[in-house]
Amino acid sequence: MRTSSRITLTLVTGIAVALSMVAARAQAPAGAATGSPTNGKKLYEAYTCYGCHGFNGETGVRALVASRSANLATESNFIAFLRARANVAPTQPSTSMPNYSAATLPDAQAKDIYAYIKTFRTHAPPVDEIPVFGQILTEAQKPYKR
Amino acid sequence: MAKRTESAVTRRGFLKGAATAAAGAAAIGNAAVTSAAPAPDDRRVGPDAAPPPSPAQIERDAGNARPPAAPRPGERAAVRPGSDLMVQVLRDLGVEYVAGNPGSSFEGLQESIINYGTPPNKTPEFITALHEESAVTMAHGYGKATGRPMCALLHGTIGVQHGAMSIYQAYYDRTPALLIAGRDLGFIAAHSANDMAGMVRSFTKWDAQPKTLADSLTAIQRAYSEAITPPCGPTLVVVDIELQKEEARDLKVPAYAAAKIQGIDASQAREIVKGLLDAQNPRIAVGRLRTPEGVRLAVQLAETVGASVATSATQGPMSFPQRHPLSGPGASTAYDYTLGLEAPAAQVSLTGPALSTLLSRDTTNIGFGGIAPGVSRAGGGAGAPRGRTIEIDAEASLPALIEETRRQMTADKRRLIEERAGKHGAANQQARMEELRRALEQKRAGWDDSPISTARLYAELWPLIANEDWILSSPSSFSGGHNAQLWDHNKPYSYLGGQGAGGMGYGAPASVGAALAAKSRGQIVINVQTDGDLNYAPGVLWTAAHHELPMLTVMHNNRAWHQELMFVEYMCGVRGRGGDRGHIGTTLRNPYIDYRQMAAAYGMAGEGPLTDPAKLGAALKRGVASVKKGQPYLIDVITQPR
Repeated sequence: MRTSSRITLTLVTGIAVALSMVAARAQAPAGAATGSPTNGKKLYEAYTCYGCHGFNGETGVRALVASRSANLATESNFIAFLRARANVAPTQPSTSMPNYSAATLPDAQAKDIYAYIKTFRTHAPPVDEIPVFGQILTEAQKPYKR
Repeated sequence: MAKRTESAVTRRGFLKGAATAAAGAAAIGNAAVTSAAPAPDDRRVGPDAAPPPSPAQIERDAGNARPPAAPRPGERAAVRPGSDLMVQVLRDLGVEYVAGNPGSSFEGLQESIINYGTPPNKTPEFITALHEESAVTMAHGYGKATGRPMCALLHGTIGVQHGAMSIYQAYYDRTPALLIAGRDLGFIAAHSANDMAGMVRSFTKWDAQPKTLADSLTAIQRAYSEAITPPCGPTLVVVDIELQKEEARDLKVPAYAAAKIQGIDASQAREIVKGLLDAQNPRIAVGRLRTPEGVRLAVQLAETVGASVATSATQGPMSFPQRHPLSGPGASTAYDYTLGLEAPAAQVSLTGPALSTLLSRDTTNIGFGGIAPGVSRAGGGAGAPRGRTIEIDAEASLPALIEETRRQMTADKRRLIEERAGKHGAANQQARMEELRRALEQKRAGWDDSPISTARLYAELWPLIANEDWILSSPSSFSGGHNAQLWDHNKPYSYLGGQGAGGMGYGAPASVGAALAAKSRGQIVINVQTDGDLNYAPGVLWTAAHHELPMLTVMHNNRAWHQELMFVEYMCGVRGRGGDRGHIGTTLRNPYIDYRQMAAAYGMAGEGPLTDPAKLGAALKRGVASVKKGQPYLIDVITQPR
């Protein structure tokens, strides 16, 4: 793949900028969501959030379920993060987190998306309750055959 | 009938041409056509028309083409046509398959493939392709699965250009393939060229346009030899139709001199083996070798010196078995001597010649990225060697290394090596199980969700094929690459890796090529097929059905060219003017494509679209059962994006 190192650098830089902005803002009550999760679901799909986070917030390159990221700790943190993402012309294609300006995604809509994200729960069974995983572990323990 | 003539000629022009042909036929009867060129005005068949049919084509279309003069009435035109000898050359070389999309410029050769010898149409067997790009990519997939060339036929200028992207991809992937292009200077002018191979010379390893039948035979032999000599790659022989149809009389098929591939010399072998045997904790890094024999020798060397091994078996073919006891970091990572076999290493790397060594043969080379010096190779390459690099083929060097190891071995060293190997085996197994448990903890995410997670797709597949002789033929990077953690890549052909040059339209035809190899070897092929990729040339599904290939296609159907969707979404953010239109031009919606119906249209059994993860395992079981019976099968799975 052609993007990995640049993505990492961009991501680290973006998170650092976002966190510094977040720290300067007044904090909302932790985890409080004031938007509409129903509308947030539509926006989550329209703005391609599922692209990296999965339709369920669980799969993809960045899981949102059970995330302890400061960027998701509060609604205001989340909005600050969206605004602070990389916004200079990249020299190479990137699959990093895009910037969502207020002109593109107004605060009210961002709050709806945040409300939807906050509805995410994992339903995945534990490893030892997935029979296929048991079979995979059994296969891995067999002696190597040429 | 030459192909693609109708599409280039308007209906009005076609009728006009037909009328001309009929008139001409009536006028000349069976006499030789000497001058039937239409008047200048007759050439205009429309503002966007192709040139009108040639006199020879008109005669042929009207059924007036005459066979070449036979020695006596009632005898065959050619008792021993030249193309029979070409097929004998392919047979002697062990070429199993020739894939082609029929074209008049190789009709003589095609007839020989299907009729010559006992039994006819066997080694080589004619494989019907629906597109030259598919035919060449079949050869690409076959070459990666076996390390041997398969043959693809190309029809004149148009066939060479249809196949060009696939030729480039195989070249970039350093995969052997034998291409034969037919040329017919006297039939359709637009389909011939003085220098047919010139169009693809910058990305073929070697080419020839022989002038005699005898030269054609040696050219095909040399093309085979060049293809398998490092740097491996596609080679092309242009064969004129006259040579295919020529009476060979008593011409003999020349003896084939097998390619001699140079390995390291004795002094280099002594030095390297001394390093391996004197070290307390040697390590060998194995990249992509050329053939299964190379892998066998690499295993033999590692076992003889008791080195832990780094493998690239989860990135591509022809590397060290992933679950071999020596494969892994070993009991200690304090390595004091490292040897690279087509891989970077701290002390010595044996690395075969790069494609850039071939640049001088083509003065028109336009400097393809990563091949020509000075052109960006961003995202390419396997990393720069850190130590001394000897530009020599690693596989050809292994016999000398193994022989030298035997020479320098002592009883004391053998005892230490056995002890060390035992510790490596235990440590590697423990590390492997710990890594697998960590992986499973991640892979369970979204297990019961719909769309179906790509991790579940790979996880459900593995127990069904673990005890089969399988090939994962499609690139897995776009579908999460879960095979790397969940599956064991223990054969040289377990995973065939990426596209080569990143060109789409690769997965299905490469899988068909791998399935051709699998069919004659009792293996099965798994093709985790991305949806965007399949739509380039889906007709290859028909080829799989027609030839009853053991290929299970599991769609990673995220209804998008998903990486491009993310790129465009990022660019929307950069420019700050709309993030909800990134799907335009990057998704496959409205309407969705029904891949089960697509497969059915091509005669392949299948099911889906599947959205319920609870039904996935049973569907995959049906699919594996089908391909084990030699019937290809397609399961359309609606998946999470990655």
